[in-house]
Amino acid sequence: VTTLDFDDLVQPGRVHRRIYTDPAVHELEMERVFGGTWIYLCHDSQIADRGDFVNVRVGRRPVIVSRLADGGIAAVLNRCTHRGTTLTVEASGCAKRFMCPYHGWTFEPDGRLVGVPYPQNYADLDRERLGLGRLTVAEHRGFWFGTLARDPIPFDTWLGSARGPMDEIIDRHPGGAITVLPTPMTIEFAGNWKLSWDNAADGLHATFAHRSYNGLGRSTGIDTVLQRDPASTPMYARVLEHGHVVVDQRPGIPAGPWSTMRAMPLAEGLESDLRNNAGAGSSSLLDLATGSMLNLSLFPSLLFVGNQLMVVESVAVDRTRLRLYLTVPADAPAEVTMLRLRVDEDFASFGNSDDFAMFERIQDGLGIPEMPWIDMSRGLGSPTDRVDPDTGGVTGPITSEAAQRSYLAEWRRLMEAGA
Amino acid sequence: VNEPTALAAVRAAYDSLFATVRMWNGAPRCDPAAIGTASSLVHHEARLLDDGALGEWLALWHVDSLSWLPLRAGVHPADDQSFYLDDARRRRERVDWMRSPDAWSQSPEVRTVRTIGSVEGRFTGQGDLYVRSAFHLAELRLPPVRQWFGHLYHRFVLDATSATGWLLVHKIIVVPQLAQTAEHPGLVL
Repeated sequence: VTTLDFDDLVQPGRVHRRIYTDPAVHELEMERVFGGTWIYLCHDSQIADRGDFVNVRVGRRPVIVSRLADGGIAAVLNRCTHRGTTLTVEASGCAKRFMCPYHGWTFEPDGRLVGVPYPQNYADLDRERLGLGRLTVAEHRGFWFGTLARDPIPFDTWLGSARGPMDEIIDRHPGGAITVLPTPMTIEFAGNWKLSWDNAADGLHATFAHRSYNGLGRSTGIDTVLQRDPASTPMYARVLEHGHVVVDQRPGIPAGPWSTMRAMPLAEGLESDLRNNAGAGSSSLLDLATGSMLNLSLFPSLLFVGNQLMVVESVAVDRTRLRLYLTVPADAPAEVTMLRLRVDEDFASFGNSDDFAMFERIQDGLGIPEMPWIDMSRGLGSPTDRVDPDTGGVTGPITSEAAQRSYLAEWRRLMEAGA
Repeated sequence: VNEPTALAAVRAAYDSLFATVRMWNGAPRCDPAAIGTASSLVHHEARLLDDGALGEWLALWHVDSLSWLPLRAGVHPADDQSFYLDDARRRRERVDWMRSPDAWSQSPEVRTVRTIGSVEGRFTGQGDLYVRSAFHLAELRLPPVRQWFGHLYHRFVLDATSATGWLLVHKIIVVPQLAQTAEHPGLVL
């Protein structure tokens, strides 16, 4: 494969290593995937008040997302239209305007250019044309997305039937009210960004890659959510539109999410409090302290995992940055939040670390040019994967690689559409 | 309405942990008489970690103790996500996990070198010793070497049963790069 021939790169049941290793492919992804579809920006709670902003990335592009006076939001490219300086380097804050520190050009949060020092030096300054680049934004229940595409697929169409599981994740919180805590875990690994997508809906790796995490559970008599026989568990993965996928682990844990957790630091008393004070509702509150067991992946940038929002940013063809934001219920007993603080960091220590070790080993292995193919054929054509005759969507056991094939089909669509 | 007992107790534990950092804010409070003991204790702990003597390291700790790796300085542990906040049980589990042959992220064997400096100490009338120090941690599993730096905040209590005469009640590791971007800080103990 010497040119970008997508028939060669993405085949039924296998893909070429080049899509993980070739800097030229990566450059195109930044333009056509991260610049061509809806990318997660932030949650309402992070920019609650007028002037609040967060500094995020759309692919590698720095983007400022601000709360406007009318209650809406604006997402603008964090790049002065004069010489290209980023306007802010703060991760978040509150700003009435953004003034470029280099020559003093000043912009409203919605991107309008409102200040240029020494304007008399310009023969014809077109302020309108020199506003900041602005993304089209859309939201679902407080979760904001943006796109740079000139003619984007309608947001509602893009989200499609992923809306259902997303609502389930939101509605398990009383009143559907969620707060995103301010500081994400920001962790990089030396591997291609798509490795995190290959992993997200992969139920088979849990048995092997997470043996150490499962061993910790077993040491205290607990079966972690990952400690299930992938061949027999009723957990399933359902492929949705546009590369999205949901993995429903709930059928495999009839005793509920809380039953999968080892005792967490400072948790026993909080658990007792909830059991004593919440009565019949205590079980659901303890489950609320744990993850939803509904892992939803919205291609290409957002994964709902546990109670964290995992945001995928690509740094280079062989380097990826994940930001893990912890969500807490805005209207539940304080014990639930206190428990969540300790619950979600547990997998980050003992689970994510082994995932990253796998990703880096894969990236190393994919450097071998004589071995160009990655196999993704599990479940393909198998009676274990059921194809919906109406939508074409596949529902299969968590061992199926239908999810990987599905997001790569969307990846291919975007890469070809951009051409 | 009184807050439930356990919730109040957890809040108090977090308040106390946070106070171990916050007490160093503002005016210098180093007690010159404490520096020798403080320096000896934090260097001893660093050596056990670098030697991989994790069983002996666990023995340094009080049964009712907390170790905390916040994501950012100045934030109360009840108000934001942390990288970890361990009690004695999860600290022991962390050590067991690090020794597990199935923890792929710990293989090949990790080598670390800690350099401790700028040690300050302060005794309190209640038999506590607070120590603030700067650290640099170099870590090698596979190339490249990872570098970590920041401040350590220790709180020790007198304990006649301990080999050092002290037990560790709090340890907080403030690593500035975690607020921006870093590789997985699983080895920062």
